[in-house]
Amino acid sequence: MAAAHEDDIVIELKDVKKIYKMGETEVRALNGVSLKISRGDFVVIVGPSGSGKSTLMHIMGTLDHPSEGEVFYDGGAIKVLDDWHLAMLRRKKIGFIFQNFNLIPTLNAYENVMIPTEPLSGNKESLEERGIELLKKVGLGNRMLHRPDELSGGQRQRVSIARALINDPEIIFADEPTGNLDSATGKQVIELMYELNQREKKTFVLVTHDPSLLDYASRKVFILDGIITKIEENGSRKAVAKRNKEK
Amino acid sequence: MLKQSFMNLSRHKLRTALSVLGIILGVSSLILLVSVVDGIRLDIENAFSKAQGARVSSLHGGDPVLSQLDESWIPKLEKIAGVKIAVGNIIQSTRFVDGKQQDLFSGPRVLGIDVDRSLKATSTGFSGELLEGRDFKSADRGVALIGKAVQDNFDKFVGTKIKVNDKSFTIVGVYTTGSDLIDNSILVPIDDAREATGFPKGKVSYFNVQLVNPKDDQVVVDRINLIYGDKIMAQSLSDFSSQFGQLFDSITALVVILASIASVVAAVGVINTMLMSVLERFKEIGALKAVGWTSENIMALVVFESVLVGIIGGLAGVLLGVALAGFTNSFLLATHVSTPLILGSFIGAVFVGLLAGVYPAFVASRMDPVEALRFE
Repeated sequence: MAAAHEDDIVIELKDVKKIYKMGETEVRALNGVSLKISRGDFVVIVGPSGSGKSTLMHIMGTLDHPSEGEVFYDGGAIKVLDDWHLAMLRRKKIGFIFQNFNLIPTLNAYENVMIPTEPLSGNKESLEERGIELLKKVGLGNRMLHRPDELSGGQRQRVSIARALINDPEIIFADEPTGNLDSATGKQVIELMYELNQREKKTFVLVTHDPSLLDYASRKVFILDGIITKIEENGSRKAVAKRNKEK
Repeated sequence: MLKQSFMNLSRHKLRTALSVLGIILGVSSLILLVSVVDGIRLDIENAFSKAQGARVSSLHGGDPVLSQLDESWIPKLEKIAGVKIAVGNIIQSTRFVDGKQQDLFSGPRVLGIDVDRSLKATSTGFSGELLEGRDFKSADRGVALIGKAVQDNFDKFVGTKIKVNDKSFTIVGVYTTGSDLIDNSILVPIDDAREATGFPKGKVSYFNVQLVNPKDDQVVVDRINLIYGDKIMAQSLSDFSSQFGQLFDSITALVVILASIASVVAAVGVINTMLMSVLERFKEIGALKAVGWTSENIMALVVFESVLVGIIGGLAGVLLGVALAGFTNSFLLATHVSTPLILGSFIGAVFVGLLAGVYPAFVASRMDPVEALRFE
């Protein structure tokens, strides 16, 4: 199915390398990665720690710059963009979900969801409604005024999912989204993301070392020592079928 | 953003409170000090604004207490065109009042007045207003008029006695000039003053010179100085207030410099607080960047927090400063809190907050969003 999206590519990486110099030695975190992410994909990137998967996500998410190679968003090279334009790109097109949630401890769930809209000027009424709607959608309709320390890990990650969606992005990056959660809660969180992918056609890119998340993937990307070793097209329908069979 | 900033500041309440305290102390001490200087200035301006004529003292008589002149100057001065009458005065500090030792500067002064001559003058340069009792009469001896400050400090009233050094006086009147400084005087007939202080006979501290036409004061003063300028010094009384004005301008400038140093210290405190606050929030700040905040948005947040510290500190500092000035006014000495002083101190505090936020804001805006995503 993903193959049918070939001409609807959100992100494309061409031979991306990331080289860190640590004294005399060079560390090649990414050593020539090429990858295309299509609209509506649910991409799971799997690799052990130190494989370069986080670096890959940072570069795809425009937070880091490649040492060599190029990144294209909707066909345009982003290396011509300065910091301000990159921030605007993230604001409009990208959502982030972090392993340690990165919620602001002094703000309640609703205010945390609204944080990406804080710099926006003008009428925020529709955004405010959207924030409430999103919190209801992630199952926190009755927890909106709770602060992060009054929420469980799974609830916090739901807040950060709602925060990632507030600006209606095209693509959402999640870095070990279940890494800080127990397996039952982790399953709920990943299913929520999968649902958003299925129902709202949001593109998700997950980075994890947990192979069990591969079950949800429409594309599986395996990475080791800075190189993509294998890409499997899975078709999200197949994933649904597989999950249904498990039940 | 207001709530976000406020909540950020309330994370470490003690730390924020301490940096706010720095600003409070700076602002309130500035208000207190300037209000004291302004209070004294206003006091003296009030007392001198009604005074007319000129004062003649010895050449080194910048301080009238140190000046000494021979009474033989009276006919010489009165011969000068424009001079109506010259009245000798003695001014001395008191050593003991009612047997209690007095401070050289804050203790009351004895003002000896040539009563008979001063009764001939319509204005003596002294612009007091009688509150109780009576003025001096011809051939009065052993009596005193006391200023209101003396009445308050020594709990005296008309009819009681006051002992200056070794000499006792009966109080016949109480006056006020509106100036605590000048009201802190005991007026006695000039010969009594000589007896009480040991001031030499035939000498006076200075002459108050009344003029035929008060508007000619500068002309007459110039005339006296032209003829006798090598031996005595004449000044118009209106000069005194402008001289005091210059003196107080320098004192105010000094106080403002001191307050500026306090502001720098307060600013360093705020910089430290903001920098720590920013450094420990690097993950959050990185996350804000990841979700689409620009570097400018981050800077604005941090500067806003810092300005908030300035606003809170400025408001509290103004309140405390005005309260301290009010307390001082009631119990110690006259103070005057002007609107420009309040506004200036407050705006200064906000400005200090603004400036102190710039560097921490810059540091925050340069933080790498990748750090926020790195798992610890």
